[in-house]
Parts: sequence; structure tokens; C-alpha cells
Amino acid sequence: MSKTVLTIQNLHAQIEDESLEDGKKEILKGMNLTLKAGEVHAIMGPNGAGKSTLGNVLAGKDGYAITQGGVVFNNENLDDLGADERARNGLFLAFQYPVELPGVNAAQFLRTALNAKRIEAGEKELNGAEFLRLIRTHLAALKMDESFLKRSVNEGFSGGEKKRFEILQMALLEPQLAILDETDSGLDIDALKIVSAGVNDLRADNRAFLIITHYQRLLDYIKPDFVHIMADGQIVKSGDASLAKELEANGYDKIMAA
Amino acid sequence: MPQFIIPKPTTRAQKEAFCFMATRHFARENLRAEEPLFHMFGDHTTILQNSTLHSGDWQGTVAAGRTEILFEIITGNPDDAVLTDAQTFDIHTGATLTHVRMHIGGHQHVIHRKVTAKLAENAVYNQFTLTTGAAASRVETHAYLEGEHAHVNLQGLNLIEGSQKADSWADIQFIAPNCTANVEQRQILDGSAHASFQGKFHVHQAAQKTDAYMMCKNLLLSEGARTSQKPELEIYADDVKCSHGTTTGQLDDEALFYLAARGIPAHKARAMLIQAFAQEIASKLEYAPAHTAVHDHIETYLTK
Repeated sequence: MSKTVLTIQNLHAQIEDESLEDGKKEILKGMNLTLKAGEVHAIMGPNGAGKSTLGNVLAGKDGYAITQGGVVFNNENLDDLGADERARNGLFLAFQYPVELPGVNAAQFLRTALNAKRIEAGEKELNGAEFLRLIRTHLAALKMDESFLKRSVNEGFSGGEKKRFEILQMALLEPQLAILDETDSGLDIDALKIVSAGVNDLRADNRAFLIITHYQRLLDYIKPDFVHIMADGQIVKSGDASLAKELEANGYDKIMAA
Repeated sequence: MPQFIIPKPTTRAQKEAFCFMATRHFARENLRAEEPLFHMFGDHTTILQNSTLHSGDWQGTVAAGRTEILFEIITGNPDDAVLTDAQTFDIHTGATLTHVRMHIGGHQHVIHRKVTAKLAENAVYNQFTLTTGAAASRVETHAYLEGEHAHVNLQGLNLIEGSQKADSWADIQFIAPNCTANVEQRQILDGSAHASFQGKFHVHQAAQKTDAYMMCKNLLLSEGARTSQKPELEIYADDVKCSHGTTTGQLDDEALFYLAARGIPAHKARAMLIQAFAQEIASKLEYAPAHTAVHDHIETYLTK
């Protein structure tokens, strides 16, 4: 039986928002989900369902608070770990809007991230030459030019380049759990194919994926084992890949009313 | 009058600067200076015995068509040393002067430096100033663009902490038409440090088609750090392009989260972003030995 990677149990989480009267708003309202190694789960839902909040809560972004229930990742209570510790322990969030870091060299960024993980695992840090050998194979797989390494992280990247760079980081860091937040947004069809192929190459028996998406389109290229529909902070319906098709044909309202 | 003393260089940056400036000193037929071009507060005992006041006025001329480089490092540890000097450069037609200054001495120094640059037609004055030392520093640059198509390029980086104060002042006088200027200042302030920046573009009536840009970016790392800016435009010509801007902020939370989400510990993430902010302006230094020295100093300073 496959190992359980992530267990989300009755998760309630709120966002701290100063513009609101009481300064906070509950977004996740009793979410339950279990991911096992080797599985690909897709979470779909209308805008405002709490999809991106889920990604941020799992990754440990500041400004969110778990008020009830919890998340266990690799037998550890996620709430006890900072965002950087979660990442070093094998959780990866591919951002919907990757952040531009002017002046932060891409190669240095990638090597620092990889070495942080290696230090945590008690492995030897890679030197510049070793790192370059490794990253070149990943670049080639994603049809990325080596000149990426000389640029500042995400600065001036096109939408497609940013998403490819996210997948490059995922390939390099070899996470146990990869969360893709609206990875298809801002991608044209060619970029979508390359990014999807990158993700498919990373599918493995020891890795789970949580794919957050608004549209069914991405799931034509990355076939999920399970599809969950999220609305108002909860999973309201779960099924296999055919649920996504059904959703595409009938829309959220009809599915949720059924 | 040994007001400027050249101590034995010890660090890599000093050695590079020293070798370069020593060469320049012997081969500088076009730069008439009475004093050595390389001056340095040293931690050499001779300096302490002589005087802790260093002052000087000197002039340099860059002959038509020549390219000259002046790379100064002000360093050392005497705790009450004062440097005050005035430099005047005459940059003739088509000539370029690249002037790099690293004020990286003890935190008790007081530095007051004034540069006056006069630019003839097609002349270029590039200046880069890095300040991490000195309890108080004031650097003034007065540029006179007297010939058409002259260009001034000023870049400054103040990287200060504790109770340090740094004051940067640029006054660019556009006298002839078709001249350009680019003034970029960055300040990284920690503790209760205070940096101020005043930049003035004075465009005379004849100076049509002036194209001038001024930007000051501040990164505040503490509650107590302060910054003041005063951009000034005084324009008497009617066909010019002058712009100025300023930004002041802290380290970006989104950027810190992005780095954390890649497993990079918080202290390292902060250091990476501060380095990036500083190195971005240093990367504009084209003169390689100075670029290396500035880059290395920033890196060492920020990882101390």
C-alpha cells in the first residue's frame, strides 16, 4: 500500500485582512483530503472557493491562521513548521504568480535552494561545477536555454518562462508533494504542453501532486487520478478524471446542484 | 606635505587598486595632480603620528579624446580621522573620466568631499561612490555640462548602520544643448542610520533637448533608520526631458515567502535580497577592477 503523504483533516483557516471589520475572514471551512504517494489530485472550483488559500496555507505563507483541524505532511504536523522547513522537507508550491527578484541571480538562487535541502538531509553541498552539470540536464529536458541561469529570478520573464522556471525548480528539488497553483494561467498552448510534459516526467511512485486549477484544459495534458470540486472552503464533490469533463460540459452550478 | 599616505595594501581590493593606481601615477601625463591619486586612511602608525586630518585640493585635466580612470579607496581604522578635499576635473572634448570611490574606512571617520566636473563637447564623467564607512560623510558633485552632447552618469550606494549619517548631493548644471545625465542613488539603512539625498537638475535656457533622469531607492532594514530626499528641477529651456523618482520600502514579504517556499532559511533569504538590491547598482560599474572590488566589499560587508 502506498505511503500517505498528506492528510488534511477538518481544516479551517482564516486570512488576516486589515480591511475587514474584525481583521480576519474564514476561507477554509472544514476541508478533508488525503494524498498518497504516486497519486495526482486535481482541485477545481469557481473563483473564491479557497483554492489558492489552500495552496498558501499548505506552503506556510504568513497572514493565514489554522483555527481548527490540521494538516499532517510526512507524519509531521505542518503547522509546527515554517515555510522554509516545509520546503526542505519536500513540499513544493509552484506559484500562480512567481515573484520577480531583481538582482538575484537565477543560478545562485537555484543552487542555494538545492543546497539548503541537501544540508537538511545531511548531504554534501554541491559546488558550482557539480551544480552546473545537474542543472544542464534539467534545462535541456524543459527546452530551456542556459542563458536563463544568468538572468535575475523571474525578472522580465514572459508568462511561459516563469512557469517553466517553476517546473525547473520542482525538477531540481524533487519534492514529495508538489502543489501547482493555477499553473496553466498565463500560458499559451505551446507553453502549456511543455509545462505539462515537465510535470508528467516528474510523476513518480514516491511523489504526490495537488493540482489547483480553474479550467479543465490543463487536465487534458496532466491526467489526474482524482478530481475534487471545491466550493466555499470545502470539497463538495470528488470523483475520477471524468468529473473534470463533466464540469467542463455542464459548469460548476449544475454539478454542485446535483 | 605628506597629506596623503599610501600604506602597504593588504586586502585583495586594495592590492588591485594600488597596482592600478601606481601604474596610473607614473603614466598620467594627462592628469596633472600634485598629490598621489590614491589616498587612503591607513591603520599604519605613521599616519596616527602625523596627523589625523587629511585635506587637499587638486585638479585633473583629461585631455581631448582620452579616457582616464580614477579609482580611490578610503579605508583604515583611526577612530577620529577626518578627510576633507576638493577635486576639480576638466574633461575636454570627447574625453571620458571614470571615477570610482570606495569610502570603506572606520565608522568614526568624517568625510567631506567635493567634486567639480566641467565637461566639454561629447565629454563623459562617470562617477560611482560606495560608502560603508564614516560616522558622517558628505559627498558633493557639481557638474557643468558646457559642451553639447556631454554626459554625466552618477551612481551612489550608501550602506550604513548604527548611528552613521551619509549625505549625497548632486548639482548638475545643463548649460549647452543636447546633454544627458543619469543619477541613481541607493541607500540601505539599518540601526538608526540616516541618509539624505539631494539632486538638482538646473537646465539653462540654451540647454534645449536636455535628457536627464534621477532616481533614489531606499531600503530600510530597521524601525529607526531614516531617509530624506530632495529632488529639484529648475528648468529654463522649453524642450527638455527631466524625470525624477524615489522609492522607500522594506524587504518585500512576497519575495521573502518565495525564497522560503524554496527552502531558503529566513536569515539567508534576507541577505540574498539585500545583496541583490546593492549589487544591482554595482553591476553597472563597467571598469572591471573596481567592479570586482566593490562587489567583493559589499558581499563581505553584508555577510560580516
